[in-house]
Amino acid sequence: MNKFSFRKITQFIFFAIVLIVTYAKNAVELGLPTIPWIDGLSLHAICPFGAVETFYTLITGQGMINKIHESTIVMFVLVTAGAVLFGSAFCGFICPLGTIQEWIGKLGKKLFPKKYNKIIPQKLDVKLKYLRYVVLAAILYFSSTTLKLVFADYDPYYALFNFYAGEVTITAIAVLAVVLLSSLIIERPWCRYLCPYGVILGWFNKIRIFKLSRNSTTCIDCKKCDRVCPMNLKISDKKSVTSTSCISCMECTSERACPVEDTLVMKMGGVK
Amino acid sequence: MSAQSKAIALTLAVLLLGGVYVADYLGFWVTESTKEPAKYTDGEFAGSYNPADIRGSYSFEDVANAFEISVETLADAYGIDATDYTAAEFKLNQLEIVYPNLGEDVELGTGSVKYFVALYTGLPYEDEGDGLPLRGIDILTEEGKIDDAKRNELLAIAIDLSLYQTSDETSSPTTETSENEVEEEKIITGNTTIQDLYNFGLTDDILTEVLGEIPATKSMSLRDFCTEKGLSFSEIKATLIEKIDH
Ligand code: SF4
Ligand code: SF4
Repeated sequence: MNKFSFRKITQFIFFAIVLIVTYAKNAVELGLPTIPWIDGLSLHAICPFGAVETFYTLITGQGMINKIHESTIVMFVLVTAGAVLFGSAFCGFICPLGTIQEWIGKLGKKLFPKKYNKIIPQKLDVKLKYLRYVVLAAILYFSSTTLKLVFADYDPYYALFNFYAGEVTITAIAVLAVVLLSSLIIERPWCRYLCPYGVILGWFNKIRIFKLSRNSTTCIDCKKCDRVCPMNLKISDKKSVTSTSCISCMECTSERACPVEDTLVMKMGGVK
Repeated sequence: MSAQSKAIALTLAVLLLGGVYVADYLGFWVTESTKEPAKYTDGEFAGSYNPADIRGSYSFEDVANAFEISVETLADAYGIDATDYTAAEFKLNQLEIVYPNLGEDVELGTGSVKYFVALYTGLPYEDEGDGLPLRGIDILTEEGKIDDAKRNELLAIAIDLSLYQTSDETSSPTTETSENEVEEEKIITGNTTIQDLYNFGLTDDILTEVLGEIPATKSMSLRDFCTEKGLSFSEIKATLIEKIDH
């Protein structure tokens, strides 16, 4: 298996970018040492999910809710364009909250090699994944009725990059702590069960231009793809991976886990 | 080979970073509130911000940044409690959420803030049709921004927000107990009619005492009657509420 991973490098780079620009902004406000040449940005200004939160107020002509700016809409459009091409690849390649869960998961795999990512029974796992829709519906409802960025008070992503800046609620820090701790035993718990943006991007897996496709004639049914999937998806009996939970990490494909060349690959239009 | 992962990684990186670069070049990459109303283009005030261009998406802070008025004054005038909302971040289009029960004819939104700011700053403003909070009119008086004649004129469009501030006082329409339902029906708003006043238990004698006469048209709204007779709606309203309570 090829150890070198473009995905992991991309994850690292985007994590670093977000860390640096949010620090640059907080540093100016908190009087901490600043970073020369770097313009600080608020996390709200670069998180594409903000556009979803302000969707209702935008279409009803009420403008954007507090703290959301034009840049948020730009990010949303760009990430959506990426999702049309590669489904939820933003989750697997870019999102820093996904990345940090993966990093902690690496430690978890070492600490609990037998139990890691196997403690939630499959039936319960399937049910818990619906929580993502509940979180999404609640956010849409409360942001459109209060015109405030209500989710910021619970958002672990915001807490991750701003916990030292004082503006973060205890609730958000608690959510972050629970997410990071449970990452030791469950792979990407936030993405899997709660992320409201992940579920939106996940829907693009059904319509994406480049689909993950399995060639059933060359597949030797070794089920290696199923075993490596961080989201515990069953791939070995599918023609295409269209699950909303797939994060497009490419770990299952012929360039990583699948031992047969050109068997599990990304294909334009997928396999009919 | 990991050509496909490489393709995804490069495409996303170019799309996001390149997209931000292009958006910045085109002027779409706005990462902070730059809420600035248009300026007067001619006349004595040319170059000053025009309150008529204040938008519903502006926060009190945006308004305070553009005009000689403080966030505290705005919050005080509009009864915004800093414990519910950070007053500085409070957006004008949230007024309708905070005061949902003002009645159909009563306008208390961005237009009201535009008018209030114009009066407070002495800037010219034409569209004077919106209501003003009673507390706002008091502030204008206390700070010497308006004279008595103007105050009396403004009292006709005053809205006493203290009557609407807590759900106990206003009793939302969904309140369950019948006792509260009665209370709720007795709230006088801009579209309360003369007939409603009779329904609240007020008699001809009381109406004559408070209004000076018995209005001929029972379907007329109290506000219209006051406007027609040159009476202060908010003062009449306060007196009538006292009578209802007795
Ligand atoms: S599911 Fe959510 S948190 Fe996870 S990687 Fe995707 S966007 Fe990020
Ligand atoms: S291993 Fe394959 S199926 Fe599982 S999340 Fe990654 S890309 Fe999707």
